[in-house]
Amino acid sequence: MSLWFAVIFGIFLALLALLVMGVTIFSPEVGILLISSLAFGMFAFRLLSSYVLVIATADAFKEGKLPTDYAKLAQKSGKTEEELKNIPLSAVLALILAALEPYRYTFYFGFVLILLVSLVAYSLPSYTDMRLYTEALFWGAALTTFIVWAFENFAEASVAEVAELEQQQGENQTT
Amino acid sequence: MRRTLTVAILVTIVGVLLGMGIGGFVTYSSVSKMVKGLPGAPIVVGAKYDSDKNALVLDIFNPGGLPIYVETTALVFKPKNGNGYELANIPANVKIEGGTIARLILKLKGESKGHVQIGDILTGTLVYHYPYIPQIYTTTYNLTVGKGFSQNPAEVIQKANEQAKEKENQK
Repeated sequence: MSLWFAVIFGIFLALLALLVMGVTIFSPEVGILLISSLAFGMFAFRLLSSYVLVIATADAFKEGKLPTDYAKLAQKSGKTEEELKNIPLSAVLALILAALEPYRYTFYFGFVLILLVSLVAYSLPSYTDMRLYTEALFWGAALTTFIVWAFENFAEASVAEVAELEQQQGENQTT
Repeated sequence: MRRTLTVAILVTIVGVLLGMGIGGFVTYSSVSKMVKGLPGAPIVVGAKYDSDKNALVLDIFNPGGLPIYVETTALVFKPKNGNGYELANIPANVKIEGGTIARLILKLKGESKGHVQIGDILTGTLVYHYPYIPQIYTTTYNLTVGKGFSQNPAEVIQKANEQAKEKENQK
């Protein structure tokens, strides 16, 4: 899945580059929107790659496959491989999500900053062009923030599912 | 499973709203840019005879995006009884920005002060041009003294639309 993610992300980047080149000539607003979306995507790369890893691991677990490569999980969660092998998978995934907390807050802080700047620019009486550009900046940031938010929620939901499955398996083993 | 489904529904709803926002913004920015480049014909939204100033006062609305440069004005005074007169080529040099209203004051001859009566006709003419477009336009407005009016530009445009639709239905 992470290979597919890389491929889709690459196609997405190429399309964006083409659109930016083609569209900025006619409409700078759309160009700014795309560029700001891309820039926020760069800020969000750490978040998105970790969420994709969590979702992919959880999906594999639902099909009955335990992760074989703990090195990546260890790298993302900030623990050693030995520590991770002794705890249930849902806890490992929860550790990865917990390690993302500072990045997550920084990202949302950046979005709120853009939101505030565009609101201030919107309420200023003059600078109509500036107002349009800050709004474009805001919509681009909102697009990426929406994607990050969606991935985050899906990752959390998949961790909850893994925990549920593990609980069922534990009950089956004791009975 | 239920939690993933809930998240999916939530994400879909937020995504639709966000798409509406972005689509609206892109459409708005392109349409507003297009409107800014359109020349609009001046509309007289207010007219009266000011007896103190002895002048015909016209409020002119520019519905387009390009500014209107009024070069000169002309005035015709047609009283009910007796002879009138015509004043031509009065320099004006007024710029009417897009979407705004400007007031033009066309002064009558000093000798006619106090002789303008209800029912007399005052004709104001504007000669104007747009930036870059190599044409000179003229528009004329007839005011019957005593029948001055003042209207909201939005109301004028709405009524004009209604009448255009009615005429189309009659065909």
